[in-house]
Amino acid sequence: MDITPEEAQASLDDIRNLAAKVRTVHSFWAYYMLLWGIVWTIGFLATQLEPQLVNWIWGSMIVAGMVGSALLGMTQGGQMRPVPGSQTAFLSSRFGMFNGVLYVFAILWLIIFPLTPMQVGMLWITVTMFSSIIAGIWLQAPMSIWLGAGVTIMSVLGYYLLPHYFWLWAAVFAGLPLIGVSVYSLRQK
Amino acid sequence: MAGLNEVIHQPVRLRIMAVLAALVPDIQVTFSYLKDTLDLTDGNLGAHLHKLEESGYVKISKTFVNNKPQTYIEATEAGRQAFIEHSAALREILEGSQQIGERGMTDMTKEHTS
Repeated sequence: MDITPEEAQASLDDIRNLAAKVRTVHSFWAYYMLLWGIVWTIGFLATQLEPQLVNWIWGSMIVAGMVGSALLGMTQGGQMRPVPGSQTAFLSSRFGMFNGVLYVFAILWLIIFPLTPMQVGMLWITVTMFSSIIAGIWLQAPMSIWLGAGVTIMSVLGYYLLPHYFWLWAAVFAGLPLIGVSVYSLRQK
Repeated sequence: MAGLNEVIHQPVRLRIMAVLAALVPDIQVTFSYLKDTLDLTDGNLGAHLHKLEESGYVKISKTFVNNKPQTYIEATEAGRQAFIEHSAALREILEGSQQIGERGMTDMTKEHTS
């Protein structure tokens, strides 16, 4: 079977373009992270500017995030799945269950314990970053561990050292890192 | 030197394998995802998938999701290996032609200066 170098080049270009297209869709977790990074950043900034509207701000931001997540799930989630019975399927389902339990407990703590808005903010940041670290350990993804540890350390520092600017601090050191890591991941693909 | 694979060399099948091989192992895609990504008709995609399945390069699973029939496709280990070897053969053809081109330029320069 003979082909010309031009045909070989065209085939290789086609392979490269398709691989890039597939990997963009495949890494839809990065789109989730980007979406929630934007939600967090806007929410934290708005809370810094109008702290008395904290319930309204976060009520609308969470609804926006959930609608966006549902749309992402509908457009991209159904196109691919782990092979049933595979290691990937096992890990995905276990991690899904772990996250479900984690967030149910976080909501339970919110109901049981009277927390200030800042403490509620810290609870969500640390619970999410806890999940990120566990995902990193489970799925052998060092970036997820670094993200979780870095955001947690910076948020704790802001909480204790700059309480008056905590929301601004959280926008910069909790919201923006999510956007940064997701954009970096998408560009890497 | 890895040779070109006759089954994968066909343009549509090459594109199908390019999509499936780009996924991490243990991930399946739906028939409709492949059809939309590659801009193919049901019949065309089905025929080429059948050929790839016969060669042991893809695995096709039919199931029901929310009471609707759904077909999932994944590359087999043999399919991934064959695709890697085919891509390597394409690169070798390209590199070979570039080396010939460079050698030709060098010879022409030598002739010109002597």
